[in-house]
Amino acid sequence: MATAIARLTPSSGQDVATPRLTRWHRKADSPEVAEIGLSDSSVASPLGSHAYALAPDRYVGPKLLPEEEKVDESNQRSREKLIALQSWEGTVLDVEGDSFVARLIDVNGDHLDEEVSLAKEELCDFDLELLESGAIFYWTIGYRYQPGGARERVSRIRFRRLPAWTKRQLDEARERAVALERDLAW
Amino acid sequence: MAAPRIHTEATAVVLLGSFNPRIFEPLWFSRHDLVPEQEAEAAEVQMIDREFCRVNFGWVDLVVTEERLQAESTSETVNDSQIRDLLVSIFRLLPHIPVNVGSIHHRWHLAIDTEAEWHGVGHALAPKEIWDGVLEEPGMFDFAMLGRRPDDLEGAIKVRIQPSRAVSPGIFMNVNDEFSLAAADGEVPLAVADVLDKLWLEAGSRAVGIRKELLARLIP
Repeated sequence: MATAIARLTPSSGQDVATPRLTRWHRKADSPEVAEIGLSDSSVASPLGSHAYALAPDRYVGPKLLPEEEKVDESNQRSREKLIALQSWEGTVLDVEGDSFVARLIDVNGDHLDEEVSLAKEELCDFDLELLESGAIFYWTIGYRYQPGGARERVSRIRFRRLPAWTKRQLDEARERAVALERDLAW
Repeated sequence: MAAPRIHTEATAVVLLGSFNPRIFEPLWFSRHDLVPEQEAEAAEVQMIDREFCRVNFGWVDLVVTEERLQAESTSETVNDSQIRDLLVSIFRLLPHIPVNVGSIHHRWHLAIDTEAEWHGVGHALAPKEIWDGVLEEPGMFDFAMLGRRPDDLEGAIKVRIQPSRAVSPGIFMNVNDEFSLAAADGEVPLAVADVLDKLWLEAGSRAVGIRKELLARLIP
């Protein structure tokens, strides 16, 4: 079935995987990414044509493909880029004085978990409020490239923010716990 | 031959359903502790009205229309799980927003060492022989492939490759993990927050795996 689907799909404009998929696309937009930040690339020169690659000014593709011209250059922030060298997800184990101890999990799974002590001054003021045992944070070390080509090494930490439980969610959790307790056969 | 180098990367989520763009003003996010007050105050608001909203918190660019919500990482995103956290939080706070389709996109501009390798990618994906006599000097400028999802969700895994506009020679690759939340007759639709939460890491490692495997085959 999957093979047949793939063969029937010659281009991105003909998403006909299943009847339901077809119906989605009739009802609404395709769930493709509209151009906001890191965009689809409009075509400078096509792959697999040496003549065009060597003389790109001969290629008139973008003029023929106005839908490829949707790159929004107003998003200045997206012109910079951060290339991560290493990323971790951390869990705060203990907070003491000017530092805190955390267990780090390598997001890419390339390294074993480790425990580290980090200085509180690494944190933004608004993340300091979230610093407590059990809090989750993300930490990335990498290079930040400016539009002019300058490169700087950066270390960024952000704490995970999730909304407080609502009364309804707490009630539902309580009901599930009561039901579970009732069903336990000791 | 050197492996292609990541020039730029981003993660985006697109949800199709029925939304009220007016809700998504920065103060709504800070009121519910989804972003700090300072970030809400500093957010770039392009527009918020009945039909369209675009807010940039620095680490996420959010665009909402009546039928579509899109959140994309930026150069200030520390970890793309921040996007997941934000969306899961929004839909746990507003569980009755109907969402029918979702997709998680992992996107890369990849620098390729030589033009010969770069052309090789185009030749491998779209052989030119069939175009002999049909087009003059044919070249691949857009390529898409679709495969079945490996899990129980309805939807597809889509891969798209184009020449990169950001780096030359280079390619742009988008891996789209697309899923349906619609329910069969008489069944309860899946909650988008639950699906995003459960699927996030799996979709990320799947996308990276597809990228690495495909590049290893295209540029051995």
